[in-house]
Amino acid sequence: MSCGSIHALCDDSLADILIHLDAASVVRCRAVCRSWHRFATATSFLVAHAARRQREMILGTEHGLSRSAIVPPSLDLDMVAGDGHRYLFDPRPRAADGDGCIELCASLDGLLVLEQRRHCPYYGTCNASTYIICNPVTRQWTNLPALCPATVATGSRFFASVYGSYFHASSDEYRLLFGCVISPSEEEPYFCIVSVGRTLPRRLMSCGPLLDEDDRKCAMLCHGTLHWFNTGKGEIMAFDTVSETFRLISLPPVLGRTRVWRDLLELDGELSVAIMPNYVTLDIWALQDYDDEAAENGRWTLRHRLNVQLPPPPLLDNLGLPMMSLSVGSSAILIGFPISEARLYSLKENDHGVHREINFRGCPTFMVFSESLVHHAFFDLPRCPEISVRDVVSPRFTTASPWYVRTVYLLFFQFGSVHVHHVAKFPLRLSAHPTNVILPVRGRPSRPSAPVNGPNLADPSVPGEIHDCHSPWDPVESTPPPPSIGEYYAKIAPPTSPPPAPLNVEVGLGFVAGSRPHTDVTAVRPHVASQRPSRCRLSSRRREAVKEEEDQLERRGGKEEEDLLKVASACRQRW
Amino acid sequence: MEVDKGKGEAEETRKVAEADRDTVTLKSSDGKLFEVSKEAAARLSTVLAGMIAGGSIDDNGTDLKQIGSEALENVVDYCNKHANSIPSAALISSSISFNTAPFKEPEEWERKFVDRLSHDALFDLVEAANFLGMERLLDVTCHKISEMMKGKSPDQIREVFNIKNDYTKEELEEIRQELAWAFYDD
Repeated sequence: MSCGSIHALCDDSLADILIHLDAASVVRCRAVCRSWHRFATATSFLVAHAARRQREMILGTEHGLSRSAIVPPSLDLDMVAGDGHRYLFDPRPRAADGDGCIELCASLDGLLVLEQRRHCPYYGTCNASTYIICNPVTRQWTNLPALCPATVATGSRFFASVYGSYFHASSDEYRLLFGCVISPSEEEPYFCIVSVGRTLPRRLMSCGPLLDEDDRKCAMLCHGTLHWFNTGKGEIMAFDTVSETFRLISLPPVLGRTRVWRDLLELDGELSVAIMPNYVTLDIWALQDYDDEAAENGRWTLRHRLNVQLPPPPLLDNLGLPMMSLSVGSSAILIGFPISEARLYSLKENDHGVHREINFRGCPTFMVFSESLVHHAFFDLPRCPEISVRDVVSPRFTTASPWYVRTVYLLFFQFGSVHVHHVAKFPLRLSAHPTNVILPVRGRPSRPSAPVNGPNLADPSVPGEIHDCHSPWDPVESTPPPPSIGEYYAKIAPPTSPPPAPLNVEVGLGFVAGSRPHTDVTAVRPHVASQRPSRCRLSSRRREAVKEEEDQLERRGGKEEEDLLKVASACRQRW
Repeated sequence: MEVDKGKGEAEETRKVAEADRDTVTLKSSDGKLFEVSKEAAARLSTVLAGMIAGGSIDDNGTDLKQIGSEALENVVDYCNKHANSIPSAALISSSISFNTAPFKEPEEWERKFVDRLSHDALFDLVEAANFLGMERLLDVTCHKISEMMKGKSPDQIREVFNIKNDYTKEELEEIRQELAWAFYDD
């Protein structure tokens, strides 16, 4: 039966062919003929098509968010070189309908969750944040309902932050888990779940500890459960997305509370922790008998020990910078540090330590994207009316979050008719971005606060606070746990009463103290810093030093902000 | 002529096969016989593996009525080449596997194998691979065909594959507008 024409192919075979095409090509095939349209719009085909898309790394580039194959199809390293970049959003600016700051929160099944922060006098989210969920391939988007309950008293602030996103199979819904704090308020912090397409957030009865920003950003979905490090407690917090309960999992015995480079990942279906106790080795521990509730302490097994031989980091970076990791199939792991190239290591028995440097020509976010044309009903529903994307504030720079390197990006994006100028933050290397869009905040203004756990490299004049600069990865046993999130929020609320105990806090920033450099905030918004009352209990000597430093900071910070604004306008003209 | 040669070869090899049973004989819809190693057939084709395991292999030529001789010849050719390529495959897998996509890129010899085929032969091979449950061959051939579509406009695709446009002008315009992003991008 050699008919020898494409018409002779059975439906299955045609689907087998179309499944190899990228999303745009599939859509073009719909215009070929009616029967192709029928195949290329069938849900079963679209699901299979999405499942076979290549996983791509989301990158922050000078022109906005981009995606690139995580690893090139061939071993030709030249192909890694970013030519495969495809912008997730239109990098061309349009007349500004408004400005705000947008941050990428999550990437799941071809959908992106973006947080749009409005002007907020403090660093962090507040009730002005709105959330957008979009499919950048099909240009569909919708927004989430307002999270702030109507009962919040005037004068109180509402803070919500994304903890994770997941697909809830039995309800066929995409859901987001938020941690919410009302401050000041009698109310305990709580968690709520928002189902995309539903109008109201649903408050959870069970509650776990709120996590600090670095921890909650690194949510890892495995076994239908979201996992985060709880650095303060030295545990893993887990949220079962089916039973909607929290539980705690102990860490591998070697980790404990020490601050070493570590990250959660899924390897061969197992919950794993990658730990780098020094520059030399990288250990990957896997949790066995995951579902065995009786195994209280978890059975951690050392699966791999890699010889990584990282070069010592530049002095400016310190222990607080996390490692980012991603399993690539079951045989390789991609590791990224804010200070180095992404590196791909083989996990094969015989060639441990073999690695390749990968230059993504952009800042890898370690969020994975894969194209999907699957139709979601929530995109057809009317958007939540109370949130207007146009209702945003004048341009405002946020700086990189502490664990990102001091870098500012201007990003533009476009959804259908909505175009928003925005500034977002993305991690990493300055060197990869030769243009002046990226503005490194030069140096780190010395901080007014005293207790720095890691090496205070910006201010070598502070003795006793500098650990061995060449091995800041050594476990710092004395690291006190950071203040709880409640304390954090209490701090940034208008002062009512003095804090209950001397805290490990940073003056004027109200940020969870730790060894991370938080200086960007002060650098860009010194007025905020200086207006805020110092609420640390410091010795008088220290207080004098603080005052002096604050003054310095103000002078320096003003200049920094000027520079930022200059670059911003330059960028806008250019585009 | 070719039939005779094929039969002759088959005749000879069948004697060997009967002795140690390391090949199977396949018969195309037009009656030609082909020999293929039992090991390769079982490994590459789920259908043949099932037939071998189930003992439904006919020593005089297992009838594959769905498959023409040209396609079957290509199938057998693929099986043999695949068997020969094992050393190189092992070599590759010992280095870092960079593949993340569920689809593994065709290897050099697979690319060459499909590149020499005509459109018609490719489509036949797709059907044959589908019928025999040869996943990898199906992937490689479909990938090849999909490459002919990639980045092309609907008009170009119709031209390449000789497809009739059964849309009205208005319908086509509607589709294009609805999905404008796929047509004006790239």
